[in-house]
Amino acid sequence: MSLLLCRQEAVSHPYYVEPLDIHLYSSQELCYVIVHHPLLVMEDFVDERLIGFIRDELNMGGLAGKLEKWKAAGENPDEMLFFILSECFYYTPSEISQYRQQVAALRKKHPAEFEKERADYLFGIRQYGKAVQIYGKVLESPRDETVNDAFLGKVWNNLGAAYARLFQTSKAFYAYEKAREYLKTEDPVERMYFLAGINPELKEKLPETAGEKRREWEERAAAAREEAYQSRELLKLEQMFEQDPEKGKNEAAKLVKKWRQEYRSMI
Amino acid sequence: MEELVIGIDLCDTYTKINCFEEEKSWTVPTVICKKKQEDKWYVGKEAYGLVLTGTGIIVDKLLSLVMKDGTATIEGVKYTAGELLEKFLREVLKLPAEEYGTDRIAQLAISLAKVDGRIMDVLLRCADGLNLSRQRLHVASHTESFVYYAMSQKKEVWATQVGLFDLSDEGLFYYEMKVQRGLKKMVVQAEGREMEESFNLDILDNPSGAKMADRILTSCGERLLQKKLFSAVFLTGKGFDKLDWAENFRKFLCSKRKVYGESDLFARGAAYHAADYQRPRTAYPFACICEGRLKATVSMAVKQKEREIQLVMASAGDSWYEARTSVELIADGQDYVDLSITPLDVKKKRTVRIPLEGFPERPARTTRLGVTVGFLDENTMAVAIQDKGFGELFPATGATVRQEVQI
Repeated sequence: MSLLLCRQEAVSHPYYVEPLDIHLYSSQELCYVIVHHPLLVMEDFVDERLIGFIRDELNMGGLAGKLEKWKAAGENPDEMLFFILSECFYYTPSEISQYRQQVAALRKKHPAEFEKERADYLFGIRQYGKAVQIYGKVLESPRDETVNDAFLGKVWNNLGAAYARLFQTSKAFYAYEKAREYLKTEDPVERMYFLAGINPELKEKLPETAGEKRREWEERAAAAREEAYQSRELLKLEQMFEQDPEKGKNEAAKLVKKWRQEYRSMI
Repeated sequence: MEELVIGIDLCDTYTKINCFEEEKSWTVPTVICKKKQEDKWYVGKEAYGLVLTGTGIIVDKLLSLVMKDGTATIEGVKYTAGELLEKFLREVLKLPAEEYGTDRIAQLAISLAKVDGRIMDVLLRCADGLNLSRQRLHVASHTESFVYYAMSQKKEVWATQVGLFDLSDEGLFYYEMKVQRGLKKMVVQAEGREMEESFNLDILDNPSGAKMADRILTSCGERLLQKKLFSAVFLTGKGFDKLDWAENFRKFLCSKRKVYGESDLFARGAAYHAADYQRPRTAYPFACICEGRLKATVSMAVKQKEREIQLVMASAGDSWYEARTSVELIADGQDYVDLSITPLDVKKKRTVRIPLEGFPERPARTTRLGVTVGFLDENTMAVAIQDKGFGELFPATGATVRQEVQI
């Protein structure tokens, strides 16, 4: 337990981390993102824009200069991350050492496994478009002990989920079909059933399923729909429409705009 | 002279003005006079002249008026004490401006018999009204001005103890200071007090009154100075302009002691003080422990680059009204802030814990704390700790804890 004395950092132009949709205002926040989002920062995170932020906004010219040199010399990008952490003194040397081990463990993974984890992470932070791209590449990996049916089945399944979040129902449906094929399980069928509920054209492609299962899925789909109707945002909008239709229209336009922006950031 | 460095001794009955390294000084009664039917204000002889001719309305005892948050109504217009004090200072500052041909003020130090939060606030507002940056205005107690005056003299003057008698319409005061060497930083300890034996200067106008005053002073002197070694004793104030009435006191005082008379000692001390703000490094590298100055150092144990250090928020010897520090800290699994209060006698060191009540629970190291330490008087510290969040990752809630601590 202690109190850390913060560096004086008069950041006037914060650093925007697009995948997380946040601005960073300090070296401590930068370190936090590096440590809590290793899969985000392990690929091309230390670029000219970040180095410029470190130099001009964090006023850490020495660190920025070294990063520039390392980058030009093609140094290991992970070392640049560790160097940032050690220069900012937000994490202790033992924490940095642990992080080093975590990054090394990720790097030791099979390339396809590593990429799948990265795509899963991007899915987790709602970067579905980027996740789709990586899942696609993983599926092109040559088969071996790791890249087997079970692994590919999981990747197809996750790809289906990513497409579904992007409302690309046909592609999602196809991915689930492939997942079912590789995993030899009926689990993806439930998702296919839901997709067919959104896109009726897919209904004819649905595999034969026992009526009892369908009823169970229908119940779940109904519950999900009800939950969506009860979302706070929609209820608020509904109330607003009742009180003042004109204001309600404006709020609806704002909400649609927000959804559109959110959707764009997912791609 | 391009810019003025001014020291003012502002008392309830009189005000003295002196510019740094200038022999000339001015003494004016602390009164302001408005010319009837005109928006013109006068001080000093002109003010009394207007009153005598019945063309002016005078307000006196301006400091007392400020202290009781009073007002004065002149020709149907109500003026606050602060407004009148500002008008008074504006007129008073014209004296050196006219003498030295510039009204640009580099630094202004005002010496007061007693510094208190209310008068401080009023003086700061006066500075705003006078278009004087608050950074250029400094307020010091008489004791501090005495220290600055004495420490600006040759070393032999302040080698041991220094005494000061101040006799004026304000009363009889005695001040004493001594320099402590051998510490990490030289320390000057000083104190002053009003003597119970104070007498009205009017009694000096008749021989029997003067004799009585001489007896009072002599007995005071014997009580205060006996068995102590003084490198110098100063006399200041209107009462000591002439010393012929105090034959016994003079004899006692001048026996084995160096005695100096300085009628504008506090104004000159304030001017030395003001001049020090002009320098890149202080010419007075000592901690001054006296009225108006902090008697303890306030610090916090913090980590900087993996090392634990004591972060000093205010040092013993700092002016309490200028000591204000703000820092940003990150709480690492800690839901309180400990402040160490270390007086000169380190054995009396103590720790004050301020719990961060009402602050949100977050993971370790994701709460930035804005810690501000200021002082309400030389014994009361005001601490404010604010939740500043952790950027957009953990937005600030604005939760704030405030606490007053006796130091």
